[in-house]
Amino acid sequence: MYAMNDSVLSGPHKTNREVKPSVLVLALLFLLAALTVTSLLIGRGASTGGLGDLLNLWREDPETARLIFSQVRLPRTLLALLVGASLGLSGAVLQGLLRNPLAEPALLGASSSAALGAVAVFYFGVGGMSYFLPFGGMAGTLLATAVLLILGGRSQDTLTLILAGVAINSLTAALTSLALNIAPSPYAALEIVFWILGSFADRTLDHVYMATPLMIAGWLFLLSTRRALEALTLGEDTAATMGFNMIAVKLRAILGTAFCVGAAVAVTGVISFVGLVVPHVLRPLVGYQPGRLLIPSMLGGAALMLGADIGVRAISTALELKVGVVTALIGAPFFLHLLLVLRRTRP
Amino acid sequence: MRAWARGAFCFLLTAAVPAVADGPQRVVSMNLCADQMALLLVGPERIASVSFLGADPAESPLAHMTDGIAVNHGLAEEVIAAQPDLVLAGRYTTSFAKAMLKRLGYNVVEVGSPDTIAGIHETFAEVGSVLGVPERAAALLEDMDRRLGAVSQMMAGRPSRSAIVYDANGFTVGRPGLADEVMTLAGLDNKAPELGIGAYGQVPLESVLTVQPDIIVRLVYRPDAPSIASEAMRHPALKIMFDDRPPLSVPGQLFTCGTPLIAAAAEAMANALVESGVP
Repeated sequence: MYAMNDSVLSGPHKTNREVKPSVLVLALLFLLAALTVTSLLIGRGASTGGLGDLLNLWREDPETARLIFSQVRLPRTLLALLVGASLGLSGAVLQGLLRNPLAEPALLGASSSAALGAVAVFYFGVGGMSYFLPFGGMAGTLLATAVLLILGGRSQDTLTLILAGVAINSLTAALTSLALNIAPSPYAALEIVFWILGSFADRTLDHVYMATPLMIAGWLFLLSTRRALEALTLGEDTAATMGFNMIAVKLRAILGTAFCVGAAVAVTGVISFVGLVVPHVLRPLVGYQPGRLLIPSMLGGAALMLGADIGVRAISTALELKVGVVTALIGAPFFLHLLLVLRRTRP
Repeated sequence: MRAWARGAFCFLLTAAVPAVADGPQRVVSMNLCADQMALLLVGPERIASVSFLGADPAESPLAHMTDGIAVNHGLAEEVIAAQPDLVLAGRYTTSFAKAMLKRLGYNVVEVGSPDTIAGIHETFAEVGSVLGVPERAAALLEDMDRRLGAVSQMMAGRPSRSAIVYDANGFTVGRPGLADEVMTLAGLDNKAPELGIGAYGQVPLESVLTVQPDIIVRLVYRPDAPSIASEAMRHPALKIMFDDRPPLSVPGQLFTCGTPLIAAAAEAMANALVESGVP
């Protein structure tokens, strides 16, 4: 397995594209700031959608402009930032922990399981948006990640784990679809699109409040695996002899993923490929060190997510495009590229 | 009984269903709106089967009249089993079943779905003739016009208010549309056509906030079932803009079909407007 994944996870050691950590973080922060401003300035709507229209409205009717800014644009931007960071970080940790370059919450079925859990709570449980919703998502993710590690976690083959993820994905997507079809709401059956492709449209500050504490808790869990991930590059046994309790590390990674992905999916639906693409793009820049990859992956995930969400607002369609469409358009070809690289380097 | 339900019920008292009737005696309707027209025109006795939507109180204001009538799901075999002498179907739905029934020699009549009051006159009179009760159709239409006139008169003295329908998934009603005509009768100026909405369409939340209507109209439809679609209607930005003043809620099922029941819809909207306290 190590030989197979060497070129992807630990680098070809021929070209050194490593950048100073502070420079990388600063550059990503700068990118994020630019995207945040753009996201706040661009909307959807006949008269206020265009870049800068809100500023014009601000001069004519400051009250309405403030309302649109604080209740429509701000929650949307904040959620994209937080969810993107959560997905980027989860992807980086899962790839490091499983030493599998294809690991990612959505591909592993963690996201679609979260959607199933959230759907169960939303349509059948307490009814509608409530503070219980993220816990439905978290329960789904927790269950899926545990099943996944039992099914494929000990396998030495990269693709076994991914296939286990594919199986979980198909099953949970089918169950979600079934649940939405028998849900009492006449709209539920059509809302499968929201849950499978994700959207930040018309999300509110309530969604931000309900998901943020859980996502931050998830970040702390995931970031705490930082040093263990570095040790893991030398193999599980070596890491254990270095004093890392691998069971505790895995548990923290699973809990962190459940908090991050469960809470994120519960308020925005499944958004795929962010956790796959971002760590890969950034890995060479941190010298292929999985621990140092975490913070940049958070920032990069947030940036990619904001960019994708700006995209769905800028692309003019009668019904707003789901943000998962954009991330999949970027991510799926990338996934194919990774498969080709893996095949080339397979011994 | 709620005011609108009383309104819907009034129609049944307007003209007694003729006891010895000409025309079809075993009517099967495969469409929610055709169900309602048949129930208004010939009553439940001559109806052999209604659509499952027509028997659902959340969908049809006349569902209470369908007790004991067989229910169909727009499938040809259900229609054949009911041994109809007339089949009423929607113009745009159940096309395979319609084609098969026509092939088998059944008398299938496609009923339009008018989205204007003028259209209701035309369609309802047509269905009345097909069912052999043109006089009853005329009487019900006359009654509808009288009641719509009364609503218009009652609201005439009030200042015009801007309004927009903002429903699940941000759907709104433009022009032509029954809700649009009813709003106009009730003295409301529908803002949706200004936003480029035709009969029916979606408006972004930001547009609603920018247009700043005096009143948000909600055509209430299955309000208790949670959905992402209905989340949009409860967005905090709307609450802030309207100072927690609730939207003008009228039963959505009265606007689904173009039948003389639109008079009950107009009465419901006028009453809600008066009760809301908005001058």
